[in-house]
Amino acid sequence: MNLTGKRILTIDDSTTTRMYLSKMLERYGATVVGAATGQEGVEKALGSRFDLVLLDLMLPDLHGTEVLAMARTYDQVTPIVMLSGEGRIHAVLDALGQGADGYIEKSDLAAIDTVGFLYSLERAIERRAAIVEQKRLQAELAEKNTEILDSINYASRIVRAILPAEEQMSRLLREHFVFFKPRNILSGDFYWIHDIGGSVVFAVADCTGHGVPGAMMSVIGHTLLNQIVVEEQTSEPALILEKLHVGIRKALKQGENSADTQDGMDIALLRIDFRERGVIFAGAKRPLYCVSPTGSLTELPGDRKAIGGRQIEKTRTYTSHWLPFEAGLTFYLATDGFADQPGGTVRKYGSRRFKQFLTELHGRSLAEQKEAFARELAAHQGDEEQRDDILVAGVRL
Amino acid sequence: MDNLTIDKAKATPRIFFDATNGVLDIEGDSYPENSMQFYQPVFQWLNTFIAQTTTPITFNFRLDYFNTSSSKCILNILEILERASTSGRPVTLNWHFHEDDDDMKEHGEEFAEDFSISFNFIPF
Repeated sequence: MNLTGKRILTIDDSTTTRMYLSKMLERYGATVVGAATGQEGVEKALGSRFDLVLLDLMLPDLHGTEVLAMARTYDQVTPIVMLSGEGRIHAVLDALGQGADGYIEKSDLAAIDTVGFLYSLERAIERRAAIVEQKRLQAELAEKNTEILDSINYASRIVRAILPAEEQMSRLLREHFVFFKPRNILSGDFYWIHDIGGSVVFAVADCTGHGVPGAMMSVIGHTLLNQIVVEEQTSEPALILEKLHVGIRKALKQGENSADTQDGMDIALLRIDFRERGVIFAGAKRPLYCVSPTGSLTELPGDRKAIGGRQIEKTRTYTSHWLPFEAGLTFYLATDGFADQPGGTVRKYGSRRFKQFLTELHGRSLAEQKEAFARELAAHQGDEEQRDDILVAGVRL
Repeated sequence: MDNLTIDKAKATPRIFFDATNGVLDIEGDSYPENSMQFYQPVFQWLNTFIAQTTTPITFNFRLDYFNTSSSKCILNILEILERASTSGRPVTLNWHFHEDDDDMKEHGEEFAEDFSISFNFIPF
């Protein structure tokens, strides 16, 4: 072991021990400074930097663990090795628990077990270095985590600003609710609303991914819907989906090649036509659930074709379903997050149970229903982690 | 050729591809953050197996849940299997689903619509 250039502090009231240690350590190139009392030791330890401190457990003024505690308050970096008499294992363990990095029984010194002595010092130095490194990594991790979270939280403000405001929802839909629970701050689920010539177009979409990639897809979806419905004035639901599909493929440069990105979205889109008194629905892998005031449920399936992604056929078309406008009818648009959520004891919630739950809610106000969804999810989920973004929206005519 | 074994984890399925008898199983949940990365070795193994051997393939999907990005990877697997089948390799494809799980059955049916290869639907 090479101690060249190392500064070592020995704190021991025995001159013989200090002399002995100095001699041995200096032989390996170290510079050794001695202290005869605890007080002197603390002053010297804090006065300048040492590469190693050897500290006697039994000092005339202070106990070795007290010196240790004082030193460790200011210095987590320097390795400290306790020197103990025989049979003081409890005091030694105590010191190790308070930040000492090793111990040496003084009887070993008498036996001139230099190899064992140096090995103990080496181990203590390594131990302290590992602790210092671990602390550094923890701090670095915490800092990176904060940076990432700050970035995500800031991004979520932008995404929230893009989502329809509650005032807009209330102005366009008389009675409605949105139960929205992103899995991790940012979401791949989103909803969108706009009025166009006496109609309201409302959509609930589930993009591939959640978190950051999901949110990026949401923003693309949102922008494309604005372009298709607001700028191009497309109001026919099936046609909106067709254009959305083309738009996603174009935006993400998706071709016939399966190596391209396969991202896309599932969507349920509804147009409520207040002038013609009708409701038109089109879906891409998402259905529309419709519950009558008496609690009977009708499911209009969406087409089994996602928006964007892999495609064999040249063009992709969707189907519009028309429903008469009946007061009291409640429509539900949802992503698969609720039905796919696993529970503590059961597997996932399931579409069957989801539909059953919808029929049980009939006759209750949509504000009450939103609460009921939150309670139902909490009861089902238990301690299980949320697996996907969750979005359920209800609209009552 | 070596078997491919990937142990089940919280967000990824158990994968056991047996090169000796051609029985390839994927079972459990699949919702990794980066699906493409997780499935890359699976695609690779499958392509090599098809290129280097003539053993008939029995592919078992026994999934409880998969996210949308995993479904794109399942499509990739199905494409590879369909290509093998078209060029004469015997391929049996079993889609297992929990008997209560309408969604998983439907996912299988949706995949089946897109491929010429026939699916055996097996409730458990």
